[in-house]
Amino acid sequence: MEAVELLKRYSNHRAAAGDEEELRAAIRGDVKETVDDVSVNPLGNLTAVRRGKDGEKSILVTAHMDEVAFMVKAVEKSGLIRMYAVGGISPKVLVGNQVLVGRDRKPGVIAYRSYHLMTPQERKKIPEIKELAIDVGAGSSEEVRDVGPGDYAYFMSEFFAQGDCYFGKAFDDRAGCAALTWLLGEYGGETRPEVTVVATYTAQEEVGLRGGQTAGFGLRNVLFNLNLEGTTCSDRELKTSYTPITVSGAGPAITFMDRTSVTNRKLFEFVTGVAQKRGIPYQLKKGVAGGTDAGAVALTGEGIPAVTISLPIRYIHAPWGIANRSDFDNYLALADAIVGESPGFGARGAKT
Amino acid sequence: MDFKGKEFLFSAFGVSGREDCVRERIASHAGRLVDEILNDATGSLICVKKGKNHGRKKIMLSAHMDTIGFVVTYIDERGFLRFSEVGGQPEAYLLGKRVVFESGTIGVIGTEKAEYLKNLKKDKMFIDIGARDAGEAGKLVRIGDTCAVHAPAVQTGGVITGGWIDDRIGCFVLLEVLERVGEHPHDLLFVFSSQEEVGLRGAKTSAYKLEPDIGLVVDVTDSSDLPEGEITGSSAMGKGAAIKVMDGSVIVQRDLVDYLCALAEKYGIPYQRDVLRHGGTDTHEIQLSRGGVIAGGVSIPTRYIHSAGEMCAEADVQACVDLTTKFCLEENNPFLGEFF
Repeated sequence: MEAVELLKRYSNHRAAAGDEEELRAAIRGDVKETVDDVSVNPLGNLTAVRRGKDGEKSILVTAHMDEVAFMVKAVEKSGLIRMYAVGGISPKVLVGNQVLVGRDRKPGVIAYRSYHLMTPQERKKIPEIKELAIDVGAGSSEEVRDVGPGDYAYFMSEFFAQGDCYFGKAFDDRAGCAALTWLLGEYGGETRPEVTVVATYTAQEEVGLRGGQTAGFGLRNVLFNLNLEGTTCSDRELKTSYTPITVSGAGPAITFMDRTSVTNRKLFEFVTGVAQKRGIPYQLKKGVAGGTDAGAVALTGEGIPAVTISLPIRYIHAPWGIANRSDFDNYLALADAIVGESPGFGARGAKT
Repeated sequence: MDFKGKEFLFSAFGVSGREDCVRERIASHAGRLVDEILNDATGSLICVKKGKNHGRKKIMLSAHMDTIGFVVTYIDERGFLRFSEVGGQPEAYLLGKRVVFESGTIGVIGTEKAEYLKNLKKDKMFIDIGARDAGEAGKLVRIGDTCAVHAPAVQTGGVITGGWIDDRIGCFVLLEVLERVGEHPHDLLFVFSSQEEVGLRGAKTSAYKLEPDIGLVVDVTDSSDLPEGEITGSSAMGKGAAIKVMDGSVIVQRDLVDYLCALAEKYGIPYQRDVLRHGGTDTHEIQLSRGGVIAGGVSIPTRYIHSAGEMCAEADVQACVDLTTKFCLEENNPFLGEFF
């Protein structure tokens, strides 16, 4: 399947930490014909295995399924729905947005006092999430009996393409999920990868790399973990900063270090080397904020060298993100090249 | 206290995740004295010294070899470098300090405007390597390269002062112990751990790999004895080996604390009970490895930790060497008896 079709479908699916079922079922349907084995672990990770020509060695390729969203805290008597954030969302990007609440995906808007009713001080202030509510147009709590505490609410955004860009929600990390499914498709039918590809779509990344902590457990002879992510892109920051973390259009970003990992030096050099050798444009992620599943996988058992490559996404963790078409193509190309060249990363771990 | 032959501990580069230089130096120093040298995927160095007992157990001794530092995130057109931190360090410790890169390149930390001195912010600071422009800077330093404050430690009047004492002094203690133990009952696994300063990472994977029966970590602890200073813990420089009871990341099993104190009493080694309000050490990760491991700590009380002027007392270092050595040699360690 076309990778961009996967990105579109996955982006439109709704799946937050602990509620990945909808996306997981879609992914399972997409990969089950092309891989040798599919399983789901108790935390909700979906793992698809495509056995390689080399029966011993493997690589673990990960992408997380969950997006940032909301969980219903309470339905007030008035029918207004109060919520928690599931994952890191700034209240700055919320007021006035459309959301879908509960299992029936009931449409609503994130409500706050109108401009006219605010004091001059309030107009300058950003409300906290606990001050906001979802209004589904109900007159009382009786009318929203099908929504209760623990239900999820999602941004409503539907994917579209325009010019050189893709617009949509949850590119963090549906870009990674789409790339992973596309990769597995490349190795379907008569084609087999050189080494076994263990493709794990992880759960609960946005609330603390939780799926990632279980992703590498029990695997043997893993050369390394390639983690496919979406990352911050600050090239449109109004207050110009001296160093954009990534620039849209400059290629996929390779991580040397972030809050949860320092990329194994040999693996970092291997990945940049592969990009150079194949002539794939790339950039380094020029900031160490944020953490990814690679940090959790790296510390599994005796340790697994792990590296993250990311699609730069403007306005990440918000109702709409914008990603660059050529970045996505090069992201796929780089992931494919790393998998293809993986037997070249012979010596596992640090120098011996 | 004689640092002869081990001076490299205070000059060999090793910022978290990039410990290759110091790892190679320690490995070549320890190589002739141990039975086996291993690495783990996270970058830790493991030196194995086999014990003589039949049915011997595994003692993991750990000190971290990584230091805090900085990572280059941007090189501007005039050749100045912007950076992020690797590990935590207050702004006040940084300005005007020299930094050294793995390649040996030296830089100085500056800030944009004099008015920022009143309210220093790291994103208003930069590293100046004296390059004419981005091109020249790029030949010396790449984005993603790490550097650390350059202030090699020196010995004067019974104290050791300088950078990287946290935790190269612990590495020194382990190397001293390694040289002194001779014949010993249990297997000794000397772990020079990586990435401690960014989240106790190396000790976690090493402990998993080694499955020790007991762990002992040698690190620095806050010396809470400054004039009018805030009380951050119980230990004071010069008062002996600090036997860890508790810190921000771990509560040591009571029996192990008592045992270490009794051992110090028995051999007349100066010691103090160490309770630290904050902080985290490798003890935490060893204790929580797999199904749980008995793990404690012996620390060197140190002033101004994470600054270019860390200070500790030679006598305390000696006490830690003595206590750790006795711990390794003791035949009747109650935690390593025959349980069945």
